[in-house]
This record gives sequence, structure tokens and C-alpha cells, in this order.
Amino acid sequence: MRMPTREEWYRLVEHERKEALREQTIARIVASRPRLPEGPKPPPERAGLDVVHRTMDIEVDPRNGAVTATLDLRISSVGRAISSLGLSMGKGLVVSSVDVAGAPATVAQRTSEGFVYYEAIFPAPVVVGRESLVRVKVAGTLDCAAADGPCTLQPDFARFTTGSIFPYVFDLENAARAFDGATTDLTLRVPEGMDTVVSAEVAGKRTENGKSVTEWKVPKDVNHSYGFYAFVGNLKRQAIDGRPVPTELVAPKDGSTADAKIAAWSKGALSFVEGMMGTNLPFANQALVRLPISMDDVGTVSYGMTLLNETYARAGEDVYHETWVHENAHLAWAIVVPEPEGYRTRMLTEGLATLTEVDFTKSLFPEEELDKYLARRYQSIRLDWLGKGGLEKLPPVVATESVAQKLTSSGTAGYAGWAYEKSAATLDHLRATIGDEAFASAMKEYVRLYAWKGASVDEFRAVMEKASGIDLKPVFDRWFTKTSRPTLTVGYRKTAAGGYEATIDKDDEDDLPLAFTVVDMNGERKPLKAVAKGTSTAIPLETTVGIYAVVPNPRLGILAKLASPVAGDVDFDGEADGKDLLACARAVGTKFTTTAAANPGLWNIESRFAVECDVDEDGDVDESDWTAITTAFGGKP
Amino acid sequence: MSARIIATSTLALSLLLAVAGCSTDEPTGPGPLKATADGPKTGAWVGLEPRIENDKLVVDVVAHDVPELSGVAVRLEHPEWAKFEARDVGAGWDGEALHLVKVVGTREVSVVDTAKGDKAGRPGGAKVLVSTLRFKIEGAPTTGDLGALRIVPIRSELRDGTGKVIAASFAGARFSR
Repeated sequence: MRMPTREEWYRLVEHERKEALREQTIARIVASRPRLPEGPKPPPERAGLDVVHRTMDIEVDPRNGAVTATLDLRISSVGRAISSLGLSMGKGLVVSSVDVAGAPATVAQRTSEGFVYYEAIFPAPVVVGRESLVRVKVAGTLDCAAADGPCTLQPDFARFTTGSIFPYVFDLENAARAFDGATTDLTLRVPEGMDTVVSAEVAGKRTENGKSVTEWKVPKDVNHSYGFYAFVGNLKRQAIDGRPVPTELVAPKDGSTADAKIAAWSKGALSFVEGMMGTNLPFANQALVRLPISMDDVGTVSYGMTLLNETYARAGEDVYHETWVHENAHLAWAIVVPEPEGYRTRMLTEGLATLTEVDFTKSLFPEEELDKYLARRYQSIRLDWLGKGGLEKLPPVVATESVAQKLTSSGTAGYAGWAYEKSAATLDHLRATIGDEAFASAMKEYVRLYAWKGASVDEFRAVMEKASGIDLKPVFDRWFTKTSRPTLTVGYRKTAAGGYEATIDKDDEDDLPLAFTVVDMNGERKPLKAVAKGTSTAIPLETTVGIYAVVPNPRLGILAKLASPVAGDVDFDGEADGKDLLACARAVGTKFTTTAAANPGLWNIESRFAVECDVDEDGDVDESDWTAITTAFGGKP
Repeated sequence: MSARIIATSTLALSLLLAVAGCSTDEPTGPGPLKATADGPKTGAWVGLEPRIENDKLVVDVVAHDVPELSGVAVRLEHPEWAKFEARDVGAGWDGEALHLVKVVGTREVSVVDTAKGDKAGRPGGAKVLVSTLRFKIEGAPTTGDLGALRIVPIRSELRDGTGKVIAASFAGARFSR
């Protein structure tokens, strides 16, 4: 099997990181501007511009880039009045006028840090609670030469996204700090005979004045900053059967073999995501876009549209398949349920999408035990980060805004580790703690309660607590808003009265909910959930035949170091016995395989590295580990 | 019949019983101590073939119908009157394989044989002698319950040539007079 490369993995991450960096650029632009006298200091939550609805009438000729557009933005203000907005369009397009409630705004083009935008100063402030209509007139000839730009005039497969013919609108007075959803109506006019697909629901189609005119709508609040997409040209369309709504694969007619794969994977991928949501994806139609390798856009998600570049086919079929699921998962974990605190965490978008992709691949291997599979996938992430100081050295998955900004601007590796890998590992730790069923139930409730508006981290926690009946503040305090990898020593002992009790020892006094499996001497296994309190906790165990083992869920071993009180007892059965030796003997001489270039942690799908035998946790099972285990066993030849 | 012929016949009978792994007489004490193997079982299984040799209890640990073995862990529970003395490793292991044995408490012996790393294990077969354990018989009861030999399933395991756990059952042995 071809091993995926780190470059391929980071390429996808980099696309998302650039989006976050743009928000940071705007935040700096906002911070550098003189504050209007009437404007109070923005509160930490969202304040200012609220885009309520967009009505866009756009004519574009993808053969030459000619564009004429009227963009009507129905806006409001939250918390404080606003007197301006920023607007970014594609290179070559000129904003000829901006009217606010029928009166002209003062428009000027600005450039900051290479970011070109229009500043529109309103003739009068838009006061809190009142709506106003902003009409923007745009015309010009699009320059789509930039390889990673928001448009591509590829013959027969032209691509337009936010910041090209669709406006990127932002608050010039308050940095965008939270979710701002807007509904959209679009009329798109292209040369007659050209086909069009938009990330929206189909609302109409006609021929008018020699143009193919299509109408589209986004009836739900979707973050207007996300990529809104249109593809125009001679498009390949292939129906995906078995879906509750019309679903099509859309791609260039270039004969790629990837289309057959995507077509075969999509029903399963979408159904899997819907299974997690507890409901069907709420789009009237769906487009699944295979982006050609010749395009730099690596992929993303939009309303009813999933996009992925064929370049991921190079990473191997398993990774391509899994990444396809990741992108489709964002239909749920970004579009349907947005992330309002995206300025300080990516847990409820990238974290959940990563969790979903790993879960999906697990579903393809039903014979492998769930806990073991998930443990080894997330251990691959931990092990990959060993060489970079450990996953615990990354910031908390729910960080402060400044920490998140610093991390995002620090480079791809840190962002990938924080937004995707550590977030997903932390969510799986939470899931292992409360139980898979409780987590699954909570996710359905999360979708039901927070579709189209999103949940704060505290609200997400509350949903998890309600489903599990467990106070999760200690878990969130320890692993979500802080970071550490405590050692948890888990064992059992006979009591003076002849009974048994599980024992948990740790270095601090903070409460810690945990999940175990208790195995009795007949081999019967029972789940146990308990809260470790203080540095030493004893939990009575019920048994009539005696206890054989108290085994912590191995999925807890990513964010915590799990150890038996008995040296050499790798399977937590209270003894360094022959089974421990057998568990580790074949692993001697193995090493977790990752390199600077290849086998990145998340994509190290096949790793079977025996973490339980890596006594010194240095990423290999060598003679020193083996000696430690055999010495603990004792005995003689 | 001469005394010599009687002695020869007794020896022959003893040898026959020992080879059959069924039972024999304890040479000293108030009555003949007999050891009887349990089993057989179906599928892959591990059984005990005990015999009495003078003041020794000798137990062959035998794996049946197993593929190539990369590891064997057997936890043997025995009567307290049988004191563990030594074990012989079954043939066929790679020279770098690990063989360890230890006494656990007063009534258990833990025996381990395992290939290390990517080294080959030992061949499987219909009947594979894994270990021979020797116990000294000290104070076996003359009446009543003599106890049994038992493989503790939950602490015993076989692994195949790829390192996977083999689903195996285990059989013990009983004592009587």
C-alpha cells in the first residue's frame, strides 16, 4: 500500500488555515482603524454587522471573465450600531457603487497586508435592531490567474467562490468573532448552453436574452464567510443512487478514474454522517464535486455541496476514502451545525469531522474491536507528536483567542495538530469516558438543538452531560481548556473483608470521570464508570467469583498515561504473567513508523504499534522495554 | 511364578500405564496414588498428562491440534502437596526463544515459552509436547480429597505463528487412590 505523505495531509489543512488567517488579517485591519466615537469597545462576543440575507444577481462569462452583478445585502446590527462594512471581490472587479437604504455610501478601495477590499462608509449608522438594505453594484473582468485564488476559468469547468463573483463581506469595526449566518437567493446568468451547479438549492432555470439563467436559494442561515461555490461549463453529472434527495457527482469531463470511486463511496459516506446526526442531511439537493488535480483548491464544504481535490487519490485509496468522509462530515459539522466559537477552537468543526472520518473507516472493519481500533488510530496521532514534544504540548483544544491566533499563524503542523488531531483525540476521550451510546445520543441532540445556529463549548458540554448523567466539568477543565497528560494508575485489590475494589491513583486532587472494563475470574466483562476523586480512589466491585482484571478503556491512553500498579502488567490483570509476555514478545524490535515526510499520525491507518509494550513510551518496543517486562515477570529459564 | 517374574510384570504394567498417561501407583504411602487426565476436547486444546515416578509427579503439558505456535503461557494450579521442582521445555523452539517458569503462591506455576520479535515459533501438530513439569510429592493425603491439576484458563494462552491468540480450551487431571 502506498503510504500517504505529510505534505498531502497538510495541504488540506493549509486550505482551512488560510481561511482562518484571512479572518486574522481582517481582525488586524479592524484593530488598526480609528474607532468611531460612538462605538463602544466590542464585547468578547459577537457585535456589530449581521448579514441577514443576500440577494445576488450575477452575470458571468467564464470564457473571458466578464462580470456584472447587483448584490443586495440585508443587514442588521448586533449590540452596537455600525457605520461601515468591508467587501472583498475578485481581482479585476470594481465596486461602482454602494447604497445603504437608497442613499449612497462613500466607497474606497483599500489594501492591507496584500488583502484588497472595499471600504463602504454608510451615510447613516445602522442602529441596533433595525435592518437596512445595502446594494452593491459590481462590474469588470475577473482575473483568475492566481493558482490558489477564489476563481478558476478552466475551460468547461470554471469555478467561482466567495471573494470572486460572490462577495466576502466583513465588519470593519469589529473583528468577526462568531457565527454570522445568512440566507441567500442567487440568480446566475451564464452564456446559453453552459451548465451550472451552485452550493444552494435549485429554485429555477430558464433561458433569457441568450443566457442560461438559473436561480438558487440557501433557505437556512449559513456562515456567509464560508466558501459559496458555483461551477460553470460543460459539467459531468452523475446521479448517486439511493439518496433521499437528488444527489449528483459533479466533475470535469476529463475521464478521471476517481469519479467511479467517489460515486461508489458517497452513499455510504453520506448515510454514515446522517447516522451520527440522527437525521437526514437537510438539503433539497446535493452536489459532490471532484476537483481536478489541475486546480489548487483542495476541497471544502458548502451548503449541500462537498468538494475534494483528486490529489488525495495519490495518498492511497483508504486515505482518499476517509478524507472524502471528512469533507462530507463537514456538511453536518460546519454547515448544518456551525461553530460559533471558531475564533478559539476548531473542535466542533475539524475535530468532529476528523472523529467522523476515523469512525467511518472503523465501520469498514467490523471484525476489529471498537475500543482497540480507535485506540490505535488515536495513538498514532499521539506517537506522531512524540517527536515534537507530545500532543500535550499543543495548546488546549479550546484555547484563548490570542493563543488560537498565534497557533494558526505559526504554521501548518501546529494547526493540523491542534484543530484536527488533538481535537478529535480529545473528543474521543470524552466519548470513551461517557460511553459510545451516550455520546451518539448526545450528538443527535446537539444537531436537533443547535442546527443553523451552533453551540458554545459550554452548551456542547451540557448536551454531553445530559446524555451521560456525568458532570463533565472536570474533564473539560483538564483536557479541553487546559492540556496535560497525567499518569493514571489503575488496578484492583482484595479487601480485608474478602471483597474486591478497583483502585485509581493519580497525582492531583481534581475529580476525573473514567471508564473501565471489569473482568471476573470467569472471563465475564462488565463496563464500569467511576469518578476518581483525590489522589487515591477505591471503588467497591461486586463479584461472586473473584476479579481477574480492571482494564481502563485503552482510548483513554492518548490523553493520559495508563499504568498498572504492578510493573510488567500490560493487560491490567493485576500480575506480570505469561500473557503479558506473550502480548509483547512479538512486538520486540518494532517501532512506530512515522517520518518527517510520510505516515502522518492521522493517516497512519494501518499502524498496529503495541503501545502497551512501549514501557518507556519512546515510540519503539526495544530490548529495554522487553527487559523491563521479563524482569517484572521474574522466574527462571 | 517366581518373584522376579512378578516384579517384571509389575514394572511392565507401571510403564504401560505411564505411557498411556492414565494412572499408576504411588510407590510409598498407605495406598496407590492415581492421576487421571481429563479430556479429550475438540478443536485446539491443551491437556495434562500426569504420571507418578517414585516420589515425583511428572506432568506433560500437551497441546493438541494447534497450528505453529509463537507463544504458550500456561498457568497450572496444583495440590499443595505437589512441590514444583523443575520443568523441561518441549522441543522445536528457535534458539532465541524465551522460556521462563515461576512459582506463584503455594499452588500455581506459571510457564511461558515464546518466540521473540519476528523469529519463527515452533511447529504445531496433532499433539505437541509443550513442557514437562516435575513436582515432588510431599504429604499427599491418604484419604479424602486429593485435589486436582488444573490449567487456569484465564491466565493461559496460546498464540499462533502470526502472534494471534488461538481459541483453545484446556483440560486438567484428577488424583485418586
